[in-house]
Parts: sequence; C-alpha cells; structure tokens
Amino acid sequence: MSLRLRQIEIRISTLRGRFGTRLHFDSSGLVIVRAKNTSGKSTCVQSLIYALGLEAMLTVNQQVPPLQYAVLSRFQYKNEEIRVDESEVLVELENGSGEIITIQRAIVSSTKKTNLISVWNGPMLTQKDTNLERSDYFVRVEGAAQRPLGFHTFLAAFLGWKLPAVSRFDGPDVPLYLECIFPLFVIEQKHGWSGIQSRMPTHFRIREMGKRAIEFVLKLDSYRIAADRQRLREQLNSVSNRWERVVTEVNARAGAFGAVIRNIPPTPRVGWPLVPPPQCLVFDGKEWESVQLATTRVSDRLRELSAIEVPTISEDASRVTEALRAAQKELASLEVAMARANQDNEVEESQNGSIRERIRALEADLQNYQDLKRLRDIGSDLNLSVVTGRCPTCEQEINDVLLPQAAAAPPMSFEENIKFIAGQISAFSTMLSDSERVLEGRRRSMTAIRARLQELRASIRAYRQALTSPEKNASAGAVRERMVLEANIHTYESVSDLLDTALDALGTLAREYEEYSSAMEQLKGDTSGQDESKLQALQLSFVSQLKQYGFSSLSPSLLRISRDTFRPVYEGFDLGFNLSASDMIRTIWSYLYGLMEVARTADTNHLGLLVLDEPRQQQADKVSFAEFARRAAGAKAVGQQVIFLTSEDHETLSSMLAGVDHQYIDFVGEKMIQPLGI
Amino acid sequence: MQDPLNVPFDFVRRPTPVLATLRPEWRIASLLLTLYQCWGNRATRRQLHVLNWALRTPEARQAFVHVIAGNLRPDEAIVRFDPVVDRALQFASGELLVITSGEMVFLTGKGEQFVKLLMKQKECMVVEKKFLASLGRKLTQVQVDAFLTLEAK
Repeated sequence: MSLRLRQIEIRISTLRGRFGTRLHFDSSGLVIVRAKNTSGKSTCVQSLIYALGLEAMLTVNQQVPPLQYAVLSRFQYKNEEIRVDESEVLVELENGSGEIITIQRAIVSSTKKTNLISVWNGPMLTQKDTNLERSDYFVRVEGAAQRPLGFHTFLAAFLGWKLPAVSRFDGPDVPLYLECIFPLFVIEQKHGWSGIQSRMPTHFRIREMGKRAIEFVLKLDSYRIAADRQRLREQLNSVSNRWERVVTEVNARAGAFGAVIRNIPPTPRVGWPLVPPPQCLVFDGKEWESVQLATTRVSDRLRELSAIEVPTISEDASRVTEALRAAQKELASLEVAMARANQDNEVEESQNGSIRERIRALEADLQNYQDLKRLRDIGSDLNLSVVTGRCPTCEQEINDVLLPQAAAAPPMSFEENIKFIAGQISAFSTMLSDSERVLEGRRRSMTAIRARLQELRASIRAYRQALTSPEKNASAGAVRERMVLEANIHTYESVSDLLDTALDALGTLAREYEEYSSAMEQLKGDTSGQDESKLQALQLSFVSQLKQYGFSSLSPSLLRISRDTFRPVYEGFDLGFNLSASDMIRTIWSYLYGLMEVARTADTNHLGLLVLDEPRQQQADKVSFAEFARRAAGAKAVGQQVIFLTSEDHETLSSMLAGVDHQYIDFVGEKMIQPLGI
Repeated sequence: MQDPLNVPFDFVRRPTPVLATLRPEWRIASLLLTLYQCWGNRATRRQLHVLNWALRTPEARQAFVHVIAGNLRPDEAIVRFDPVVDRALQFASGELLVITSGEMVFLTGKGEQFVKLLMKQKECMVVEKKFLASLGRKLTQVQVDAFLTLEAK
C-alpha cells in the first residue's frame, strides 16, 4: 500500500516548438525541488493533482482545469509571450508491489477530452519502451470512483485500497472519494496551509468527511465500529417497530371480539418465552376469565346438551320458565352494572380531560418561559434594571415577580422554574398514560357487557316465544342455547388463534432482538485497542516534531490528538485560531509527517507519500525547515517519499541540508517551463 | 433506641414556582407590544387593561375579536382588571420604556427600541404577536372603548 512518484512531466505544444517541464525523482526519500517564486512550482503540484483527477480538491468548477495560465493559455519565455496550443501532463507512478504505470491527461487539447485519463502499463517516461498497452479511463463524471472504467476505481485498486462506504447528508452512501483522502498527502500552496485538511471537497456532502479520511488513512477500526453500531441500531429499531405493529394489531383485533390480551410487553424484550406468559381474557358477563377456561366450560356445557335430544316445549316448560327468570334477573343486574360502568367511565374521562388541559397549560407556561429567556436578553441589551433584579427607581433589590413584593416565599429563578414545569409535565404525562390504560380497560368491559346484554335480551325473547308457541314444537329456547354456545366457542377459538399467531411472530422477533442486542453489547467503546495505540503513536510523533521544529504558540506537550476527530486539539478545541501563521505550518508538517511515521510501525492505508508545496514567502519567512528536512530524510530507509517544493535561495538551502540525505532538483534562476528536449 | 422524631430540624423556605406571565419581563414586553399596536403609540390605562386581559387566554382573545366585530355572545367576556398590569406599568415607567401622564400611557423611544428588538426575535411571543397583528396595524381608542362601554352596560 504505497505510492511513489517517479516522474512528472508537463508538455506544452506551441508555434515555437515543444515546451514544458520535467521533474524526475530518483528514488524514495527526501526530495527538495528549488525554484524561484512565481516560476511554476505551484503549477507542478496542481498539475499532479489534476493528472490524478483530483482537482475537486482545488475547485468545484468542472469547466476549466484549475491550473495556471502558463499551461492553459500563454506563458513568458525570455521576454516573449508564447501561446499554448495544446498541453498535457504525464506522471509515472510506482505502487507497493513494484508495478509501474504512466498516466496522461490532456489540459488543453482540440482532440483529446479532458475527462479522459490514459494509462500505460509501464514506465513510459523513464524508459522509451514502445510495447506498452494503453487503457482509457474517465474522471470527473458520475461513477468515476465506482464503475470499472472510472479512473478512481482503477487508481484505488492500483494503490491496494478498498474504499469504505460513507454516508452523505442527502442521498445514498458513496465510497470515500479519493479527493477526500489526498489532502493528507498533497498540500498545494494556495489553500493547503490554512489548516489540516483545509481543502476538502465539501460539495460532495459527505458526513464527517475529514474524520472519515483520517480514519481510513490510519486504518482505524472506529469507522467499522461506528458503522456496525449504526446498522445494529437500525435493525433493533426495525424489530421494535415490527413488534409494536404485532402488539397493536393483536390488541385491536382481540378488542373487536371483546377480549383483552395481557402480559405482552409493548416493546421487545430479551428472553423468550415471555414471563409471565401472555394471556387472553374474555368476559362472560360477570367476570373476566382466561379464554382456555371459558372454552372448556362452554364446550362441556355444549357436550352435555348434545347428549340429550332437544326437548319439546311442554317437556321443557318448567326449565324454560326457570331460565327466563334467571335471564331476566341477570339482565336487571347487568343493566345496573352497565349504568355504573358508564358513570365510572364518564368520571375517568373527565379526569382524563382535566389532565390534558393541565398539560396544555403547563406547556404554554413552558413556552412563555422560553420567551422570557429571550426577553431577558433584550432587556439586558437595553440595560434594564429589572433584568438584574433591581428596582429601576430606587435601586433596591426586588423579587423577580409582579405579585406584591412583600409576598411570602421568594419566587424560583428562571432555571428552577423551567425545571419545575418540566417535572410537572412529566408527572402529569405519567398520570395521563395511566388514565388512558384505565379508560381502555373500561371500554373493553363495556363492550363485553353490551354484547352480553344483547345476548340476554335475545334469549329472553326466545324463552318467551317458546312458552307461547304450540306444545309439540321443539323448544326454541333449548335450540338457542345450543347456538349461543357454539357461537361462543367459535369466538374463543378465533381469539386463541389470534394470540397464537401473534406469539409466533413475536417469538421470531424476540430471537432477532436478542441477537442484535448481544452484538451491540460486544461493540464497546468507539475505538479498538489497536486504534488507541496508533493514535498514541501519532500523538507522540506529533508532539516531538512540534518541539523539534520550535513550535511556540502553546506548550507542545499540552496538545493531544482528539479521540473524537483524530485531529490535534488544545484543551478540547481544534487547533487553529490560536496559532501564529508559522506555527500553523509547523502543525501541518508535524501532523502529516506524523501520519507517515505511524505508518512505519502500524498497519495503515498511508501511501508513504507526502508532497508539500511551500507556503508563500510572507507566511513562511520565520519557519526554518532545516529540522523538518532532517527528520523527513528518515523516509528513505522505509521506502517513503517526501517531496518538498521551496523557493529558499540556494545558499541557505545548502547550509540547511548539510548532512541530510536528499535528492536536490534546482531550477537555477529560470522559469520551470522551458524548451523540452524529446 | 433513639426516637426517630426527636431530632433537631430546620425549616427552609423553598422558592415557589411562578407563572411566566407574572414575571416582570413578560408583562413589560406584552405591555409594550400592546402599546405599539395602539394608535399613536399611546393608550389609556383602561385600554391597556382590556388589551392585556385579551392577550392572555385563547378564550379572551376570541371574545375580544367578537366584540370588535360586534357579535359578542351573551355568555362571553368578563374583563378582569389585573393589578399585575399596574405593577408592570410602574416598572416600565421606572425603566423609561413608557411615560405616564394621568390616564394616558405613551411608548418612549427606548420602549419602541425594545419592541423592535422583540419583533426581530421570530420565535418569541409568537401567539401574542400573531393576535395583535390580526387586530390590524393600529387599534383606535374608539375600538377599545367599545369594549369598556359594553362592560358598563
């Protein structure tokens, strides 16, 4: 997992022949490229970014390549202005497995499209090998990082990267685009030095883009952990929702039969079967009993009756008379019960109504208190004394209330009062849900009583009819009793079936819930132990570099790497505003090179490449990079590459670099764009 | 064993909760808002009482609208004269947000500044502002007096 630049070449065709610039890097290690300011250093770095199809790091504009005029329209050469006819950039790259490719992208061209990148499967620039194969890939269009012909799909594979999917503020997940990661490897002069990851393509609308990129480069587990946790949370939610649906449905359907389901928790529980076991209760006109008991009782009675022939009226007369009397008695008592139930229900409903009203009033008061806080702000803007609890006329202390000032107890402060109201609201909400539960129970028993009343009235009619019909007829009362019993059995069976079906569904859900909950349990903490040691190493490297480079805005040992954002923080705040410009540069060096140092000992996705285009002179004048160069020379031993573009003058540089192992490329006194030999 | 009741104790006076509408800032603000809505940024004390009563509850707001429109239901509207309004008025005048002269109350420049800051706070006193705005830009004394004469009948 590494990337080494072998050669960068900008080619410009003009009427005066071929111009351009060529940067050859011998091997890994520290490379110093020296050229005067405004000579084209930035063009080189920007062209590299452009060649890799990463210009979203520089601009959101898709039309014009974000490069200097020198490669787009015209440049100066020996006091002559030369027009650019065509231009292109080529880069030769080598990955960790020693594969070499050359990529080419047109900047200005009448024939080649700028969203095409050609890739040769070998070192086209450093060896004149003609037997190379070319493939074309596209960039800067949809799918460039996902489809097989997208250049970034190709590049990610070449780098050995598997890009994680990240979520956006809108729309579906996308891969973590390379444009989000490269700001940790390539710092260009114009915008790169205002902070760590200062040039992020925010227009991709990726959530926590900076954090995701650092996580990826350091190969932290935290992202996987966060993603797993998010996925589990969604699964748990879905189980809860399905559970609630099953419960609501079974309750509603049982309600239609006048039955009540008990002991089913409204939200999923770990543990199956449920304890206490769920139960279905039916109302027989006097009492609630479990549906199993009721079914047995009714079936027994039916069996008893079936055993004997349906009696004739004359045979049955005394029994029917008895039954009629009993039914009338039960009807009378049930009517009383119904009236009482009605009354109770009304009382409860009015209670319920007043609780609701109370909650409404409390909520209005709470709203008024929110307003009050704003009013207090206005009041203090205008220097009103009541805001500070003083009388505007006599300057004496006053109670913060418009009741008579001598009134008994002092009023609560705003905060206390708001807390008080919130407490009241929650207390009344509890009362409300309790009252709702009671009401629901009442309604159910009323439904059951009503059904039983109807049944009794029908029975009474049937008994009466029986007693007045011809004596030889079958007793209608006896027939009716059988029918009622059968209907009841049917109802009870339906209700039992309902409960069984619901319990089957809930059992499956409970097992799912248990599985997800235990998976969630195992996901403790936001980072793994490995993450922690990487972050520790980063912090150590970061702080020791700051000390080495003479960071002075704050004491370096007070800085740490945030375990939340993975960026350097001071007392919990992102480092930035409180730094001098030169310390900001030291911070960026230390952080980016720190990532590289961590990559030497830990398994990361770091490319082992760092390209730094020195900040403009006025910011950098006090920053000596001698110490940085000394430290960065260590890259060579581990095959990493640090390319530093600077405009320091030659003498200063050579004294700074004395004894430092490096490759030195110097454009002496010239513009970097010069006639290019083939 | 020690008698659990025989222990030393103190009474601590706990602060009491107060309705937000009884706080000076709230009442002063509603007073200024009302004055601002009245013609010429001034009103009589009685007018302020009526309007502040109307401002406080949804029922009162509705009754007020009915009176202005001239179709009051017989069982509606009992204006309450609230001493809290007078105290708020005293504070407001102490803060130089209003000036009183006999029965008349005038909004001062500082008071107007308060109202303008309040208007900028879109989330603040939404219901009250909406109600006052629904009454039309400037309430006239005649309109409010209609209410008071009706009371006297």
